[in-house]
Amino acid sequence: MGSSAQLRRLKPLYQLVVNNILAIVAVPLAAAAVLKAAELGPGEILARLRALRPAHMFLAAFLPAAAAALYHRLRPRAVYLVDYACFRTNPNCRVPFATFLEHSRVWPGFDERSVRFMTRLLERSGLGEETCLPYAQHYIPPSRDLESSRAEAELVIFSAIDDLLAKTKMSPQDIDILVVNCSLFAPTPSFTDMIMHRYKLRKDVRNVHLAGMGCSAGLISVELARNLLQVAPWGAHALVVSTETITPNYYMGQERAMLLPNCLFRMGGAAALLSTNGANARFRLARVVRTLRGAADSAYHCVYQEEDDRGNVGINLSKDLMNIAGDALKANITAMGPLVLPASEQLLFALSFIVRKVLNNRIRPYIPDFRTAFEHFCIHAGGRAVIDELQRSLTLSDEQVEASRMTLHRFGNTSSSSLWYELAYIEAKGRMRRGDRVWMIGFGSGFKCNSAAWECIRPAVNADGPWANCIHRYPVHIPDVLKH
Amino acid sequence: MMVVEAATAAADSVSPMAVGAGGGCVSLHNFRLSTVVPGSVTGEAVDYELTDADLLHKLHYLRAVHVFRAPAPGAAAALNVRELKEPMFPWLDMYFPVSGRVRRHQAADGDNAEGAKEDAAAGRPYVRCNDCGVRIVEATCDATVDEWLEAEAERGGLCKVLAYDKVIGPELFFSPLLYVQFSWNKKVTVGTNSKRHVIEQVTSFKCGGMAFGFTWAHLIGDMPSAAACFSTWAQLFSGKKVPPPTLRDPLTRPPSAAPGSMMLPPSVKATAAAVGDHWVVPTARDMVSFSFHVTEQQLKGLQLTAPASGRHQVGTFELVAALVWRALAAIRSTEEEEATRTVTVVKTTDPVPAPGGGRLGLTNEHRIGHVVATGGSSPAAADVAKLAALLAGARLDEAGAVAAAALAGPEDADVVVYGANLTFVDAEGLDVYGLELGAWRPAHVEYAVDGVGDGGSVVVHRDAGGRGRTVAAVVRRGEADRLRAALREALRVA
Repeated sequence: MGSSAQLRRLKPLYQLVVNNILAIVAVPLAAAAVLKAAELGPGEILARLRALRPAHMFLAAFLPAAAAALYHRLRPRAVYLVDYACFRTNPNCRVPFATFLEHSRVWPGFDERSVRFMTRLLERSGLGEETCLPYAQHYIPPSRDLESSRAEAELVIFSAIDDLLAKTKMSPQDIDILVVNCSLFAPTPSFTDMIMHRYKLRKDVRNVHLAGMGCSAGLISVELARNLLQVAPWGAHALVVSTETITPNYYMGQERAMLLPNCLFRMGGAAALLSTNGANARFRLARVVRTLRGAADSAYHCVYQEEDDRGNVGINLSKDLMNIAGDALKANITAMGPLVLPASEQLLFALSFIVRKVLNNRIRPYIPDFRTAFEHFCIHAGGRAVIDELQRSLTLSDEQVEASRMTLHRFGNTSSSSLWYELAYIEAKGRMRRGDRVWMIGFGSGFKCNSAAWECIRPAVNADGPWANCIHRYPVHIPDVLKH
Repeated sequence: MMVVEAATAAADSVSPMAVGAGGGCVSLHNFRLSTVVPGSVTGEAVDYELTDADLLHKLHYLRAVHVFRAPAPGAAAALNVRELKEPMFPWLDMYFPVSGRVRRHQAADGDNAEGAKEDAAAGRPYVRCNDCGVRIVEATCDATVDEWLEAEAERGGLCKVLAYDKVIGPELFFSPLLYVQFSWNKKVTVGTNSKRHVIEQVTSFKCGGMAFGFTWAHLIGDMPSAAACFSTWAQLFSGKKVPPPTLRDPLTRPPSAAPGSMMLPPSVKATAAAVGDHWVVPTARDMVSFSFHVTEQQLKGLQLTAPASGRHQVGTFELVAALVWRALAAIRSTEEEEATRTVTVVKTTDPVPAPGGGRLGLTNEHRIGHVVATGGSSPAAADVAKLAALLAGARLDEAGAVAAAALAGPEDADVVVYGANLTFVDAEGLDVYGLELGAWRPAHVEYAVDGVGDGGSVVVHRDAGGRGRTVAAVVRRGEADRLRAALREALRVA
C-alpha cells in the first residue's frame, strides 16, 4: 500500500517528463549547440557558411519548405463546430411515470405480466418525471400513423434548426451540405427534402439521409459531414441533424425483451453546424473513430428489429447487450487511445501490455486514465445499465458521468441526439472552458461503438438551451428504485 | 383485474352509442381517449388528504355539459382539441389534486417520519398527487347543435351521452377523478376507391358545433368547486391571467370533526353492503337522466302561487322542487309513500371569490339537510306552496358535520347522499352559462349529479337567459316520461 501511494505521488512527475520528452531532450541539445557556436566564435561560423556550395544551400532551404507545403496540402482540413442546438421539449408532451403506467394498464393489449415488467423497468430506469413523448402517444392506444409521425419529426427537426439558425445568425441559403440521421422512420420524400422544402435551401446542396444506423448514428453523420467538407470549397457549412421519431415505433405486443424501448425512448433531436472555417466556431473536431462489430453473430443480433409471434414489430434487445457493449467499447478505446492519449499513458499501457504477454497474464491490465486526455465525457444515455457499465470500465468519477445520468433523467433516451443534450448540460452548468476536450461515445445497433473527440474554442455564454428552465434543479439524486 | 375503459371505448367506436328512441336519435362514435397531465412536476409522494365531507360523497359524480353553437363564420376560428388541451397543462398545475389517483392508507405506513400518519386509519382513502392526469375523450356526433337542442327540448335527458360515464374503481390506482369529453359535429361519409378499399373521409363540418362535458368525482369537490375550476380553464383558454386557487395544504391533515351521535342523519343512508373499491351506488332500479326547462313565464306563474309571507322566504328553487316532489310522489307507488315523505335538500354555497379567507379551490362545503312532509295527506296530494314552504324551512348542516355523524359508524360504512331519499339540489347561485371559450358561448348548459341512489336527484339551476330554470335530474327508468307529462300539466295550469 505504501509503495502504491508513493507511485501515485510520482505519477505527475512521470507524466510531466514523458509528455514533454521532446522539449526535455531538445533543450540540452540546443544548449550544447549554442555553447559550441560560442566556442567557435562568429568569425569561424561565417567562414564555414561561406564554404558551403550554393546548390547545397538551395536544397537545404528548398527541401524542407517543399516538404512542409506538401504536408499541409495532404493533411485533412480542420473541421469546426460552429454551434449546435437541441430540441426544447414542451411541458404539453410530458409523460409522468404514473401516466405511462396507467396507459399500459388501461389498454387491454398488454397483459399483466408485461405491465408488471414495464413497471419494474421504469422504477429502475433512471428516467425522471419530465421526459416527453410525442402527441400521438398520449392517446390510448397510441396512434402510429404516418401523419402523426411526420408531425413529430417536423416539430422536432424544425425547432432545432430554427434555434440553430438564430444562434449562428446564418441564413438557410448558406448551407452547402445537409446530413440527417433518423434510424427508424424514413418516409418518402426524405427528411432532407423536407428540410429543403421548408427552408428553401439552395439547388446544389449535398444532402444525405442516413436511416437504420441506430443510436450511434449521430457521430456517423458528423463524420460524413466532415468528409464531405474536405471536398467542398473551403469555408463551406454542413448542417447535421440527429433525431429519432418515436411515433411509429411503439411496440404493441407482449415480448418483454421488446418492451424496453417503449419505456426508455423519448422525444428529442439536435442540429449542429459544422464548417472548415474556424472563425466564430465553438469547438474543433479532433477525431472520429468508428468501430463496427457486426461480423460477430452475437453482436449482429444484439439489437434486432423483428416481428414477435403475433406479428407485432419491435426491437429485440438481447440479454448480452452489456457484454457486447463492453467489448465494443474496448475495441473502440484501443483504436482511440493512441490518437488521443498523452505519451505517458500510452507508454504505461504498452509496458503493461508487454508485461502481461511476456510475464504473467494474471496481472491486471493497465486501464489508461482517459482523464488525462479529456476533461468532459458524453456517454450515450442509452439506459442506466449502459452508463453504469461505462463508468466502471473507464473508471470514471460520478461527476464525469453526471451529464449522461442527468440527461437520461430529464430527457430519457433520445437516441442519437442524447450526446448533444449532454454537451448542452455541461455548458449550461458552466463547466466548459477554452481548451477543454470532450469525448462523445455513442452505441448503437450493429453493434457499433463510435467516438468523437472535440476541443473547446469558445464555451457558451449562457445557459440558454434545452436545460434553460431546469438546470438550477440539477444535479438531482436519482434513487435506485423510483417511489410512486 | 383489468380496467377496460379503453376496451369499452374501442367497442364504442365500432358500434355507436345511441340515445333516444325513434327518429332523430343522437349517436356518438369514434371515441378517442387521451390524457392531459399538469405541466410541471408536483413533487415526490405528495398526498392530498380527503376530509370526512369529501369521503361522504365518494359514490357520487357531478356531470356537467355545455353545448356550443359555432359562432358566425369569420367571427372566431374553429376549436380543435389541441387548442382546448393547451391551457389544461398550466390549469392542472393549479388544481394538481384533480390529476391524482385515489389510494388507501396502508396499515403500517412506511413513510411516516414523525408518525404523523399513524392515526390515519388503515384503509382510509386519500389522493396521491402523482400527476397521472385527467382523461380526455373525443367523440363525433351526427346531429347538429340545432337538431340536438330540438330533441333535448322535446325529450330531455340527452346530456348524459355527452359526458363520459365512468366511475372510480374497480382499480382505484388507475381510475381518473375527472373525465372531460369533447363532442364535435362532423359529417362522415364512407367512400370507396377504385381498389374497393373502404375509406372514411370527413367531408365537411355540418354545423361546426361542439359539446363539452365532464364527469367529476364528487369527492374532490362540490358543484361550485367544479364550476370555478372549469371557469379557470376557460379563462386560461381565452388568454386571461387567473390567480391560482387556494387549496388545502397537502402536508397538513384536515381536522377530523368531533364525532356526534352514532345515528345516521335522515338525509343520508348507508349502503346495504360495503362497496369495496368499486365506487358505484348500488341501486335496485335502473336510473336514467331527465331534464326539463321551466320558462320565465311559467316560473312567474309559479311565484304567484307562493305564500306571500311565512317564516322562511320561499324562492324559485323551493317552488320548482316542490312541483317535482309532488309529481314524483304521485308517480311512485303507494308502498313508497312513507319514503317519499322525506326528501334531502342540498344547498350549494355561493362561490363568492373573497380576496382573503375565501372558499378553498377544492372542497365539499355545501349544506345538506332533510325535510319530512308530516301530516295526513301524502306529498302527492299536497299543495305546491305548502311543500315549498316546508323546503324553505329545511334545517341544513355543513357537509362536514353530516359526515362526522355519518362516518362515525363502522369503518367500512359507505354512505349514499344523493338519492338516499329524493334529493333536491339548489344550484341557482352558480353562473353556469358564464363559461365562455374565446368567442364561443354556450347555447345550453346542464349540471346534474349522477351515480345516485334509488331516490333520485334533482338539480335546479338557471337557464340560458337567467330567468327560467333548468331541472336536471336522475330518476328511475319509467318515471321520466310520466314526470315530463306531469310537469307540463302542472305548469300549464299554473
